[in-house]
Order: sequence, then C-alpha cells, then structure tokens
Amino acid sequence: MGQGMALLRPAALLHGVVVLMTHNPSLPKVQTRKEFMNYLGNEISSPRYDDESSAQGRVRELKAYVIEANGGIPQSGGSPYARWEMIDTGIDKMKIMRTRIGDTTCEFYADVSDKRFHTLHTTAESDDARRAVAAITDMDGLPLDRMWLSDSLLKALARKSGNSAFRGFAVRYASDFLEENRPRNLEDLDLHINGSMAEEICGHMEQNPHLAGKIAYGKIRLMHGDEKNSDDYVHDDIDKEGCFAVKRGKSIHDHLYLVDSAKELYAKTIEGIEECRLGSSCHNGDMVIGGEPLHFNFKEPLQDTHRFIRRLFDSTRPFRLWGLESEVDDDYYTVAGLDLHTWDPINFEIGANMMRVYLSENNCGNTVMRLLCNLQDRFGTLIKCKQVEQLVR
Amino acid sequence: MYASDHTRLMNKFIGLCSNVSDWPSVLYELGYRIKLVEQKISTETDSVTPDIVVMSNRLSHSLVVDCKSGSNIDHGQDDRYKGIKPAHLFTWIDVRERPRFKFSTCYAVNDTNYGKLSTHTNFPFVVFGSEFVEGEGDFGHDDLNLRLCKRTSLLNKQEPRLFYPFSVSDDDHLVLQYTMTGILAWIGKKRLESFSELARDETLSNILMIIHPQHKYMGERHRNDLRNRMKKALETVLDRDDFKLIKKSGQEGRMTASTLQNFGELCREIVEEQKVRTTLD
Repeated sequence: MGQGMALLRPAALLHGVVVLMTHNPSLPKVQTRKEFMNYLGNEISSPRYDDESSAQGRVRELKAYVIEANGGIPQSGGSPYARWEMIDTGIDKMKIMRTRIGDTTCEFYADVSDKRFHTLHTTAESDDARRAVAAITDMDGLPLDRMWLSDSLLKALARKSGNSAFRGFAVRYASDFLEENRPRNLEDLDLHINGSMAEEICGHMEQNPHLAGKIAYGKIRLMHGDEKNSDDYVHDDIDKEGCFAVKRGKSIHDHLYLVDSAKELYAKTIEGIEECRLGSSCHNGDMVIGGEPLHFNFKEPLQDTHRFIRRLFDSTRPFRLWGLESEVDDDYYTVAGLDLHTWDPINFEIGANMMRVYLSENNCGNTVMRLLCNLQDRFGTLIKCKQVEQLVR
Repeated sequence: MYASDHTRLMNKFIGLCSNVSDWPSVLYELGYRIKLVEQKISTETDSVTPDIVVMSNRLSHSLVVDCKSGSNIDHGQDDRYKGIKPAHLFTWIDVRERPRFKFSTCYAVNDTNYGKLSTHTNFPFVVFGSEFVEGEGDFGHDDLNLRLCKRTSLLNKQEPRLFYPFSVSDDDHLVLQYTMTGILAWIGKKRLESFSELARDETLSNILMIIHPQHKYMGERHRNDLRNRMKKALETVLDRDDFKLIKKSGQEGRMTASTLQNFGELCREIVEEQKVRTTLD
C-alpha cells in the first residue's frame, strides 16, 4: 500500500485543515456490499506472509479496527504529522479512509453504517495500521477514540457460547507507571499462549496464589465457526484496543460476526456507563436528577496515593487527564479533572482502596473504558470498575 | 482543602438518594430521587429556598430538605417552610398521584449540632455522625420512618463529595480550583476568544454550567450567586500574565503535556496563595 504515497501532492490548507490531494486509492472503489465482502474474502484467503511461528503472525493479515466516532469522521483533516481523507465508494455507508502518518500511507475500508462505532478494515502491515489508527484517534479536538476492551469485556466475549471457542490469550504489563505501586509479581509478565489448551493453562494460572485474580487479558484469541472445514471458521486475535486480526481460517462471515458481536457488547456497556453521568434523565415522563459515580475498587491498596494521582493526571498518554487534587481526608483526595480528549470536566475521589469517577453530562463512556483498560494494563485485575463488571456479567 | 460543612451535608444527603458504593442508599432504595436543588419556592405569604427536594413516586412522598451546618435555627425560616403546601411543590415537580401525595420538611444536620437545634423546631432531622446516619422525628410516612429512623452505620464508609463540588458557602480557594479547571476546559474547547471575556457574566455562567453538575437544577438566583462567587475568586487571577500564557498556548496549538503540567503547577500555586489570603482574612 506504500505505493500510494507517490500519488500524494503537497498538502493544501483549506479552512485551516490540511487536505490531502490524492488520485485514486489503491483499494478498489467497491460498488456493492457483495463486492466488498468478496474483496475481504479474497484478502482473508491470500495472506502475504504465513509465518505462524512469529509472535506477530501474518504481517499483512486482514484486520478490523473498531473506533468510536461520535459525530462521524470528518471528510479530511489532520496535523503536519498525521493526515487522513475519506474517499467515496459506490456504497453509501462505506468509504475508503486514506491515512498518511509521517511517510507511511495506509488505506482502510471504513464501514460507517453504525453511527457511533465505525469499523476500519485493512490488510496494511500491522504496525503501520496500528500507528495510523492510534494517530487519528489520539488527535486533539476530534471526537474519535478507540474501542477499549477491558479484561472483563474480553472475558465476556470469550464466554460467548454458540460457535465460538477460546483459543488463546496474551498478558503484558506496561512498565511506565509507579513501580512502587505495582504488585511485584506482575512486573515482568509478558505472556502469549495460543492453542486448544489455552483455557486450561489460564485456569491453572488462576490457581496460583501469586497470580489469582490479578491477570488481565491484553488480548484473546477466539475461534468462530466450524473448525472441521477451513472455509468455515476463523481464529481472530482480539486485543484490548479493539483490533480484530484474522490468524487462521478463511470465513469472512465469521470474522465479521466476531467484530459485530464485540461491537454490540461494547455499545451496551458504553450506554450503561453513560447512564451514570450526573444530570437529568426522563423515566416514563418523570424527570429526575440522578447519576452515580463509577466505582473503581483497588484489591490491593495503593502504596503512594498522591504519586498515583500525579501520574494519572499528568496530561500524557494514554490517560490524557489533567487535574487539580486536594487532600480532603487522611490519604483521600478529590480531583477537579479534565478529559483532554474532549476537554470535558470529569471529577474524581481517590483513596488507597478505591476511586470514584463522577462523569459530567457531556463525558463519553469511552473515557471510563480507556481509563480502566490502561489501569489494568499496569495493575492487572487488581483494579476493577463495579459498574462495568455488572454490565458485562 | 475542605469543602464547607454545608457542601458536605449536601453531598451526604444526595448520596443517600443515589446508588453510591461505600455509602448507604437508604432513600434511593425507597425510590427517592432528587427533584430540585436550591430552587426558590413561592408560598402565599413569602418564599423559601430549600437546599434539596426529593420525591419517591412509589411512596408518593416528598422531603423538603434544609442542610443546616450551624447550630442556630432561624425561626422565620421555620415559619417559611411551614407555609409550603403541596400545590406549591406541584409547580416544580411532577407528581403522579396528587390526591395521595404528602410531603415533610426536614433538616439535615451534623450530630454535633443536633442537640441544640432539636429543641428549637418540630421538624424531623436527618442526623449525620462520623459513624452513623439516623432519622429523628416523624417524616410523615411509615415506610420512611421505619427505614430512616433505624441507625445506619457509616463505619469505614467514604462520604461522597462531588455530587455538589462547591457552593457559595465554600472558601474562595475551593471555588477557584473548579473555576480554573473550567477555564482550561473553555480554552481547550476553543470557546475563549480573550481573557477579558472572563469578566463577563455570560462567559462565567457558561463555565459554571460545565463544572457544576447541579447547575441546571438550581434556581436562577442561586446560579447567579454562585457565578458571582466565581467572579470574586477570579479577581486576583485574571491580571496575572503567567496565568494568561495558557490561552496563548491554546491559540497556537501548543497545548502539550508539559504546557499543561506547568499550568497545573501554576494553578496549585494560585490556590495555595488564595488559601493563605483566606486564612489571613
């Protein structure tokens, strides 16, 4: 897909937004859904690399990224570093999204038929595609975000019965956060286990007293379909940032089923979180002022609450929170905060054992999932959100 | 930095009507929900502004609540509450079964003030101790009396503090903390053209709207009072060139993490200075 770069002319400024002047995309401008499905079906069955021994799997496997796009993706935009444009196809709700991040161009089919959660399909190299999705969804001032699948959401997807089966998981802890607050036995854990024994191995790990109740999935592998026939199933790696990568099998239908069922579960969870926003709601014609704080439980107390707060609200990725803290009780703080993704206020109470998150009327449920996922990336399931657990139960 | 006793009582009471982990939901479980916050209610002879009005459709019953942080009862206020009739509440809240509807006025107080206050009024009390909450007196509904007048433990519970993050009764430094957060939000959303706009009531009202969760439900007079508190708290800040720098960064698209961290440090410094000023005053 890199050859598309040569087609790019210098960027032009229009109404303050960088616009890419492009020729035709390298992805075909499909005219019908059937044509689109055939294209994806062809891509799924002809991987460019097939090295299953690599931890990355097939470099150009078919992937789907689910992104939250409240208000849709603008036709074009970006910064000097990251730009994109949307190109029409013959299908009303299907666009080709062309991104250019630094010197690298990626193309995605963007299925925008769901108003809030769009799906981007691509066979671009994994690293390039991931960088493009991250750059676009991290961009300031755009209401775009990734789908953040917390441990309990990934587990809920793995539990789904029917034609699905659990075929693997990965656990890895980020190392950039408060060493003194992290449980020691999680420090260097970086684990990938795939295969039909994965569930059993996971069960054994949960029996281990040092790991019990602490392991948060960063990725799971699910099989969907009928494994007896290679045309009738897929193995998808589903990671916590909403990427669905086909690792085995050829069934495009089963791949899309996994994407859609995750999207459905996620949308339900986000709606449930948003019902907790402080504000008014109408039930049977009766207006009430309500909402409740999201409750995060810390199974092991923080060793240094103030330091935890200063790191959480230091305005950097991935949390992207800013805040002013006050100690209101012994080792208990309130924080007047801002979600820098949307610049909406979001307030917190934080103690060594728990955290309450008060969403304001305009906060997006995705903010909570981003927070939860990134905390679990660092603390495992020692941190859980009560409401999210209830919603996916 | 502590909120005033009044703000804390407001939060504790709202917490009883909400589904909050680590805090009893005794009123929420009976179906009570918040209907009005700081809304002036006119009666035949006067008017009164209860802090909170809650209602349970299930019990067809309302509580008109005054959060009392001091130890003195203003008898005039007691009389004004006595002037409220169901019809005055119907102006503001939807009641499904009006013929069955009843309401009671009560005071929410800290246990340290209860002894003195209880001798000056016949209204019932919701008493918050450090380790319990308990209703005292007749709340006008058997189910409510049964539940609320039974002592509920608050041992190892954390009072909710941010349903109602600040009020007119709070010190300037607390008001300032939320106001500066609102200003940064306003800059981030690119809605602030210049710092002089912050002297305008309209701009401050818009900022108040996004930083105070109960803003929409307050009476207009109370909203204006709160906005004026923000304006007063900002007096010492708006002339500071170092504070204004953040606006320039926003305009130039330089809201980097380090710019925001530096702004955070400046805000903390300003809050500390204000705290000292308040103490000296």
